[in-house]
Amino acid sequence: MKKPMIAHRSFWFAIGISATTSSISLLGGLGLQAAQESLVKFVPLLAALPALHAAANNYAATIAAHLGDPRMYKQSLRRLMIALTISTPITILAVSAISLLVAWFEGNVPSVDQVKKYIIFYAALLAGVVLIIFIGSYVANKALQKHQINSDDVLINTTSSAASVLLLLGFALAARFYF
Amino acid sequence: MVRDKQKETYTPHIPNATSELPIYTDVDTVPLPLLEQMSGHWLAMYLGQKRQHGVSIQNIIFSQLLTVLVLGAAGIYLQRDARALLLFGGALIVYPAISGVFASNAAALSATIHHELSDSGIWNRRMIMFLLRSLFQAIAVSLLASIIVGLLSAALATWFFHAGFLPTLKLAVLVAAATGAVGMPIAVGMVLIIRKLQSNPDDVVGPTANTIFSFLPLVFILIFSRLLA
Repeated sequence: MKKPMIAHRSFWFAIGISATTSSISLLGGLGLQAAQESLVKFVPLLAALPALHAAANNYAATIAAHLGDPRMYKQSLRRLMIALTISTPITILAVSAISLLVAWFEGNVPSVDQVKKYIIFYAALLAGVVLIIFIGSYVANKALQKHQINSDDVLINTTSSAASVLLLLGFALAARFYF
Repeated sequence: MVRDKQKETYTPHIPNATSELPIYTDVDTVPLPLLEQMSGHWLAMYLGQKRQHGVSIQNIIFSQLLTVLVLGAAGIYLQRDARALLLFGGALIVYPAISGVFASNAAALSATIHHELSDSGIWNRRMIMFLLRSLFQAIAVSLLASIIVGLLSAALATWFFHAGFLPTLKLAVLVAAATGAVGMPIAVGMVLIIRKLQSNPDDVVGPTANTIFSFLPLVFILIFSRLLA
């Protein structure tokens, strides 16, 4: 069943939402800046940072865009969950492979224990972020529909920022305490 | 397979509803050939809608792998030039915020264009104007939001890390301007290409826009950090 289209918000509303939600990302940036020295020391971690950051944002945008689509069907929701379940491990493996390869090429060969440690960290972080974003987006989308707010205007920005903060804080904490 | 074959070979003749097609109130009275003809039409409509609004697992995996590969390359660049980040007090504070402003606005722009195009269904002058207005509005929104975020980043960098306020603000504005000018038109172009390929832009453009806007700010931050330091 096609849901009715909800009008988009104004220019100034968009700036407000964009600035507010992205300012939340500054929390992640602060964490990164604080852990900057430790982060630069761990070659695989630094190499994985942009890829994992973008991957988490991708999942947030995909989840929010699908949930906000007025033509979203119930079967599509189930299919979205299957897609996330299949693609998340593949993404984790690809990120792990690339980050460890970069470290190897840079002459920083990690031991088996370190490899395990990195893979466990990437898996826990990305899977956790995806799960939190999915549940949060689902609940937020229902609330936005109830208040007649177009989720294209709000949900994508909010989930992207939330994913960014969660991931970067995870990185900062791991650089300080886990590695 | 059967559906694909039907899609390729079936070209429905849709009778003009007002002059040729009588109004039926009971499905049992509709002539069988007409019912068959219209069901083919609805199947074609359904498959088209499904392709553009359904969830494609392959597309999601493909776009994620593309992201990881491109950003893996960015990771090598970042790792090699990591000391440039240390030259500039607020560089790492600015990165996620600017990347977030553009990635989310590009994803919202692509979703808006896709949903609007699906709704109106035809290309006309109004649609082209809508497309241009949406593009310029997204660039303006991103730039103004980046200035606000830049002010906040500069204040935080000064407060917590004793970095210069004006250089951090300058870095944020320069990175935002360069990122918007290069990245936003690419994001719009991609929505149109993906729709032309009968795929759902929600699966592909959002992630690809994220890739672009995670990559471009990082590159511009490293470039402008070196120039401003």
